[in-house]
Amino acid sequence: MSRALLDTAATALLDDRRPLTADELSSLAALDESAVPSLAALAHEVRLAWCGPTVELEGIVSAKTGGCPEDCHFCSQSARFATPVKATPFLDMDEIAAAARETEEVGASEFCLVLAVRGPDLRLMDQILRAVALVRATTSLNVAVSAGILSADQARALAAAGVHRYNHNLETARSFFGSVVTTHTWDERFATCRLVRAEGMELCCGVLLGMGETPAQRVELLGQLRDVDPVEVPVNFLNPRPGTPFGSRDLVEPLEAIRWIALLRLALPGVILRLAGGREVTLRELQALGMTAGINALIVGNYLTTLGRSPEEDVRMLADLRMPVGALSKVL
Amino acid sequence: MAHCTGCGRADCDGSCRRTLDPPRYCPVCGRRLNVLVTPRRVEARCREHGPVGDAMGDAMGDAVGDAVGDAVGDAVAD
Repeated sequence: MSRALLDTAATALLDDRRPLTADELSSLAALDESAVPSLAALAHEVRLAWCGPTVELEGIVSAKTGGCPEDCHFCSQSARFATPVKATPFLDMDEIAAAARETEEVGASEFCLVLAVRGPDLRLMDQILRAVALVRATTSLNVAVSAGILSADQARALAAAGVHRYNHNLETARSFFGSVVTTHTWDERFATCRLVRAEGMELCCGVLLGMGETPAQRVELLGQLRDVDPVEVPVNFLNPRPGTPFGSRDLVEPLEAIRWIALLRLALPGVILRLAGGREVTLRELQALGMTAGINALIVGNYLTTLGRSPEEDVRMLADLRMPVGALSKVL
Repeated sequence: MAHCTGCGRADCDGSCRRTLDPPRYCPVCGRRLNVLVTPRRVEARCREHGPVGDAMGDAMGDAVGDAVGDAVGDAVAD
């Protein structure tokens, strides 16, 4: 049974180059755990066929931390929850430049400035634009920004400033979103995603798995990601944060994480699929298996408020896997 | 050490601290810290007691530094 499903998926994606249907993805999602390595192997083959062997590295920094008015139940930066994260204003430009240099030194090609906000106001936009100009002037990094919900004018200004990619995650399926966030809607996120593309930036639109969504809702999310048509999909796994409503949720099991990495690749064969937050605590010893389950990009080093493993470990892992590091942007 | 750097409580032995979390509370007074996390660095600072740890010049995966136990998940050794 599982072999027939995998063969059909392989023919579709490798020979016919046609997308899998929602029913096919649901069937693959329901495969027995013993079939996950085979699923991962197919996803790796699809990734190589559609994207090539290159892996893109990215560093991120929280340019403005905490104090966010939104209530994303997974996030330690919401002002609505009593978390250990103390709000801090926009980083000094010297700190931004230092973080960018650190990113460049590890061989990354992407640097993302992330702000904990609903959306930027005039003052924040000015700070973001100055930071973008600084990073572009002092490094060879491609600059991405994640600053919440945008207006058309803001999206246009960011694109004009040379922001080549904008991150705005769907996080979860539309049918589950109301259990995660109540201060804005899934449709508002979707609208910003469309705006980003309309203004000529690459869309980076990620997911956060492990918040209590069902497998059917994950398959629903795969379809919704297709609808928004991102260039990059960061794959985050819930790392339960103290003080948040999801602070006591269980981690996704490592092999289950591999299953969904593979399914993301099979659903979105041409995207930059980036292993992102929560990977260390979720995958544990299976980091390399993640790389051979359809992943072709990594966030290296620390995250926004938590730490990652050392970039050197990741670079060594990629060398061992014979995966070259490089840029995958389509607009630069 | 008077306070856990993971939760700030005086009666916590540090076992609350999660893997790969930087220090969040001053080990001296229990205040929340200003924490800067960059791709390669972590710097934690108490507004009353200054930097926590050894300035964490390259603290990847070793967030805490000497002053707070020197091991992730083992934040309060004293």
